Amino acid sequence: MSLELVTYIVQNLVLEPDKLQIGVKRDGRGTRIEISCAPDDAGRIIGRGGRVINSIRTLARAATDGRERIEVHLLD
Amino acid sequence: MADNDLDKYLEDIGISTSEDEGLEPALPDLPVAQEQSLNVAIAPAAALKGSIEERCESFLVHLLLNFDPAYAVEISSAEEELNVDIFGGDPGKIIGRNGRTLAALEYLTNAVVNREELGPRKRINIDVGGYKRRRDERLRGTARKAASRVRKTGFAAELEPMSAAERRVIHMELADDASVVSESAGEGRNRRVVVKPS
Repeated sequence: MSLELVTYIVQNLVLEPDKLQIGVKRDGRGTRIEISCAPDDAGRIIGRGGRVINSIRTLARAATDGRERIEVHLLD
Repeated sequence: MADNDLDKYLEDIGISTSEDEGLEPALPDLPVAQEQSLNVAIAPAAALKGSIEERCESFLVHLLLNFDPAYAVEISSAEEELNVDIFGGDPGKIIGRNGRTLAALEYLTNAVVNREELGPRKRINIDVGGYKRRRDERLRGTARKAASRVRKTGFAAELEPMSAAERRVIHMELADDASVVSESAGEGRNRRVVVKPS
């Protein structure tokens, strides 16, 4: 659920959705969602002071009801 | 709304609900001990289009499906802003501790729906089952009480630290009160409203 959620939000934030790549790593501690995007889109995903990506993290965690640890990272 | 109506509605706004047509392939069950990485195939999402009301509704309906399909949204449009109410489903899940999840949802919705290249913007306010309405009423009471204390004592009153949205409610409530001025002081999580005699 968190993966679909993050994917949908990010797709709607960027100018070049076809350049998006989303990877998932799972281990015993939880799930790590890694996003890579066109260079010019990074600012849109991070937002001023990191507010956009922090809001994405808040929603991704809320979607799991706290059952799972979720990290969301933008790769550069 | 009956299930069929909902399906038709979702289809109209470009969301497929049939299960064999899932947007993402299901994640395989990986052994938890070892770290695995995989790239997810991304199905292109239909770009948001139409009026700001349509874009807002389409975005929220799609997004909330990932929380709980029981949520529904109702949008009313005012001149300068859109007011959204989310109902059905578990309100606590979408509000979060101290309203943090709701604040994140509202911020992201504004960021996505009000992208400059999509056309004219309006501020989008989201409430869940009257949560913010009640919170705002309480804040307006706090503002009026502080103003009357300041008038009586002639000294400035400092309120509790608040989020930007909460401080905004206080400032708005006191904007028409000529006997006091309100300003924000402090940094970050410690930022708070100070009510002063004018």
